[in-house]
Amino acid sequence: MNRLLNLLNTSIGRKLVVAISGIFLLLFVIGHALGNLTIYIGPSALNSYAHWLQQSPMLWLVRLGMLAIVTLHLWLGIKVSLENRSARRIAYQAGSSLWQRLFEQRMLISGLIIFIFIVAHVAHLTLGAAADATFYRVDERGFVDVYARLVTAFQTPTIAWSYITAMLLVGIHLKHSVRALFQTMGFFHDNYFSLFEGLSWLIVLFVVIGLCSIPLAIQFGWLNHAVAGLSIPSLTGPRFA
Amino acid sequence: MKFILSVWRQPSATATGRLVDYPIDGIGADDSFLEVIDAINENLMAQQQEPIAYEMDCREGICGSCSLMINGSAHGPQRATTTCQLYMREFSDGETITVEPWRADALPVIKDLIVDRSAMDRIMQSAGYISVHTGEAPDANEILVSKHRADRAFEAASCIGCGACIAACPNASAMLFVAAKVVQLALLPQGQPERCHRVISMVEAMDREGFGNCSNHYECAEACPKSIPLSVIAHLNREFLQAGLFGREFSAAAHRVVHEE
Repeated sequence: MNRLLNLLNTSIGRKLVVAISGIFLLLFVIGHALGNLTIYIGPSALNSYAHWLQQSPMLWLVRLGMLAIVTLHLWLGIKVSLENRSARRIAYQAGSSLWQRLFEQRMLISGLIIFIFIVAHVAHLTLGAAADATFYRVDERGFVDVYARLVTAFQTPTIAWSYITAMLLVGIHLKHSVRALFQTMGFFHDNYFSLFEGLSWLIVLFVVIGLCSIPLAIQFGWLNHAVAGLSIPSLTGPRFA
Repeated sequence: MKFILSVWRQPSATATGRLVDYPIDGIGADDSFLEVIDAINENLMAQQQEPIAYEMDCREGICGSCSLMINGSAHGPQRATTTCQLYMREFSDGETITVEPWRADALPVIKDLIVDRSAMDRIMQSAGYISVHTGEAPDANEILVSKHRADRAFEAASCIGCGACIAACPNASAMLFVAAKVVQLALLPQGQPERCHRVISMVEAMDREGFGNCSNHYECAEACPKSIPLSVIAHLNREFLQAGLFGREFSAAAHRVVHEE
């Protein structure tokens, strides 16, 4: 055990922990995107999927596990970034432009914003902070009406566009991660460069297009017609905040 | 050709430095970059001024001592080239060229453009060697090494230890350097007895010196004058994981040295 702690305490060991926790987060995001895409099958498909998740005995185990993994990933990510900054405290005069510096720091910046987004997202759509009656609606089978919840929430342009922005940042974060994690795990080889490059684009495009399409579709009114009998607050009453 | 060299002047390690502009005329397109600094230094000395301190050794691109950050690029704009092998035809006439030393807290400036690269030597001293009896040269082909393996080892062994990878890395990480030094020996039969000890000790030594962590920006391989491939870093990660899990005990938990100003 002591040996393992020593291993994880080195620079390479810590990056390994970031990479392994990142794999879990990556799988979670892919699974989340796949699940959410059931919205295009229809309200009952999405609500059944949500019901299947909510009644699962693994629900809290997964939730607590994800919380631990996010904490570890974030903590080590910040620690490594701070060390990296202190490794060159005098910058080059003919240095990089502001955009290049932002690009170099993109993992930390996008990571921190994504973390804030996750907290807001859980409060918004899971815990129902500032929720109205629509949030607690159940469908005809007695399942929580997640479909109505989403359609109501994404009627508000600011919410829809903040989600889309957050997903673009997830895309930027993932684009770097997929190839980097193979390198950190030691799989990287010059022959596989284009394979990993392709794989990372595939994952990024799937996650970003998949997850952005939902608020976009609701904004453009492509999904509203399916919410039969739902009085949408943004259209009839006070706006969903 | 005419140029203005904007050069980092810093009288000593503790003094504060600044960029000073030196106009120079009558430079040929086939003059090397270091010859331009020599020309400026001759002018400075003629005026009884302190010449620019820089490392000027082999001038054949093999010793790794020339180490200039030219317009924000390690060893200048041309790929796979050391500063001494860089010629002025790579620049446009009348250009202002900024010349700075390597920047990394682990490689502090001694004077002007010269940095102290002892941190890299200490990493090598920790385990970047093989323990063998020296004596007569062994017979050729006494120890068989496949062509493929020899080529990959040689690719890593072409590292001249100039530090461009560290200078170019946004995190001032020494991973490409350490990886090249670990991999060249890990691939060869002579490197096997100390293989686990070597990778762990060298990574621990690297951590102690206060280099940054690799976050896969890949600037190092772009800057490397010897075109050492990025895959050596993955190879180092693999070696390290293998040694950490299955090799000997760690010598000590790595304690990072925070350099005080």
